[in-house]
Amino acid sequence: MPRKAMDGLTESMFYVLMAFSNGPMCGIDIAEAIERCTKGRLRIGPATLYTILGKFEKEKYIEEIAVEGRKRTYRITSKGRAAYDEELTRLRLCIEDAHRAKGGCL
Amino acid sequence: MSEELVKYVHRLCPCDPTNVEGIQSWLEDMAAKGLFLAEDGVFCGVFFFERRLPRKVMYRLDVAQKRKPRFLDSGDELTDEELELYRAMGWEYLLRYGDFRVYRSMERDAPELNTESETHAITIGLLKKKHRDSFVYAVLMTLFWVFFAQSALRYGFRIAVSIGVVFILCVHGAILDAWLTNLLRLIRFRRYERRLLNGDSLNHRVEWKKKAPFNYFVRALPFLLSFGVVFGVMSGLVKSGNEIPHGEYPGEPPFATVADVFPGGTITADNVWLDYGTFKTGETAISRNVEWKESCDVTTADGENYFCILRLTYHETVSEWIARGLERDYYVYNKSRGQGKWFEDMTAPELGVDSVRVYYNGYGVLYVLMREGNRVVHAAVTMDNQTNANQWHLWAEAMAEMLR
Repeated sequence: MPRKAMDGLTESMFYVLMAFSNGPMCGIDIAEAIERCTKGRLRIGPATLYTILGKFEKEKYIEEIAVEGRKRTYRITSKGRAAYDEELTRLRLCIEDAHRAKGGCL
Repeated sequence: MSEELVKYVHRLCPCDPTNVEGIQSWLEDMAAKGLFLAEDGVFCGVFFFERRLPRKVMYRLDVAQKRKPRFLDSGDELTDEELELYRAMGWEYLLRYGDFRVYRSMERDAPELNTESETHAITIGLLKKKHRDSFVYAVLMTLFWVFFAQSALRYGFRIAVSIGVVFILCVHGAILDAWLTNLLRLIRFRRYERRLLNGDSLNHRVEWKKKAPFNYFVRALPFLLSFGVVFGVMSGLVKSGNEIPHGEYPGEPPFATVADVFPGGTITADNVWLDYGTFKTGETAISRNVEWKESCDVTTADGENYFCILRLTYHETVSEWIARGLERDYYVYNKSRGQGKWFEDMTAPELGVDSVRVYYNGYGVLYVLMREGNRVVHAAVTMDNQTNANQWHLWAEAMAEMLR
C-alpha cells in the first residue's frame, strides 16, 4: 500500500532538518551541507530540496528569518526540532534492534 | 565544430500540457534532431527551437510551486539562489509552461531534479487536487447550465432552429470537452502520484508519436468550438436581419396566408402602427425556415369585416424525424399553457396531412399546428374572440390545402 506523503520523514527530509543543526541556512547551503555530511552519498536534487523547504515551512518545521534580495534564509522551529528528534530516536531504536537481531535475539 | 545559432523553428507540442513524460521525451527527441528549446520559447502551446548540432540532452518538467510573496518577490519566479543551485547541479532553467517549469541539462551525469519519489509525490499531489477541483467545478457548471437551460432541453428542436444547430452543438461540445479534459488530467496525476508513492519515478522516455495526431486534434478542439460558437451567434444575427416586405417574396409562399383563408375577399394590409407585413427566411443545418407576419383588415366575399393578425412559422426539414421533433416541441409548448380549448373535430386523414392540432387559448389567439412529411407549419391567428372560435376550421383547411 503506498504511503501517504508526509507520513513520517523521508531520508532527504531527515537530512534537511539535520542541516539546520548548524544554524540558519539558505537552500544552497543546505544542499552543500548534506553532500558534505554524507560524503557525497546523498546528493539532494534541487527540486526535491525546495519541495521539502516549502512543505516544512507550511508545516511550521522551519521559518523564514531573512530575505536578502531574492535569497531566503530559514531556521528550524521547536516543532521541527521535535520532529527531527523523534525520527532520530526511531532510527536509533532500529539500529539497536538490528544489533540485537545480529546477536540472535529474534 | 562549434554550435552556432542558425534560425528559430516553431512546433506545436504534440502532448497534453500535463503529460510530463511525453513532453520530456518529445523535447529530448527534438534535441537529437538538432532542435533545442529556446529560453522563454513558448507561446500558446507553440514551442520555439534553436538549431544546433544534434546531441543527447535531458529535459525535465517540474511543478512550479508558489511561495509566499515578499516585497520584490512575487513568489512565482525562481530566486537567484535557486537558479544558482540548479546551475551548480548542471541544470538550466528555460521557461514556464502552464503548471510546470522546464529545465535542460547538457551533462550526462547531472543529478535528477527530483531525487526522492515520495517528495516528488507532494507536488504532483497538489496538481492532482487542482484538477480534481476543476473537474468538480465543470460538473457544477454543467448542472447550473442544465437547470437554467431546461426549456432549451425541453424544446430542443425549436431552439436548434432559432439559435442554430452549430451554436448548440459547439456549446455542448465545449462543456463535454471541459469535463473530459479535467477528468483525464485528474486520472493522469493520480497515476503519477501512486507510482511515486510506491517508490518508482516517472518514466523519462515514453512513446509520444502514436498519440500525436489525436493530441493535436484535442488541442485544436477548444479553438474550433469557440469559432463555432462565434459563427453560430453571427449567423443568427445575420438571419434575424433578413427581413423583407411581402411584396418582395419570391413566388408563392408554401403555406396559407390571410388571402388563402378568405378567398374572394378584400384585404387591406399592413396597419402601420403594428408594423407587420414582412417575412424573413433562414436556414440551419436541419431546416429551411420562413417567418411570416401579416396584419390586415379583411372584408370577406360575404361582406363581413375582420381585423386579423397572422404570425406563421414554416419549416422544411432535412428529415421527417426532425419535422416530428419540431411538431412535438410546438405541441408541448402550447399544451404547457394549460388553459384553452383543443379542437379535435377534424382529423389529419380528413385534411389529407400527417398530423393536425388546433388550439384556442381563450384570449383571442388561435394556434394551428400541422405537419405533412418533412414540413411543419405553426400559425398563430389573432382575430376577435368569437370569430377565432368559430372559424378555426377555415384556417385548418386552408393550411392543409397548401401543404398537400
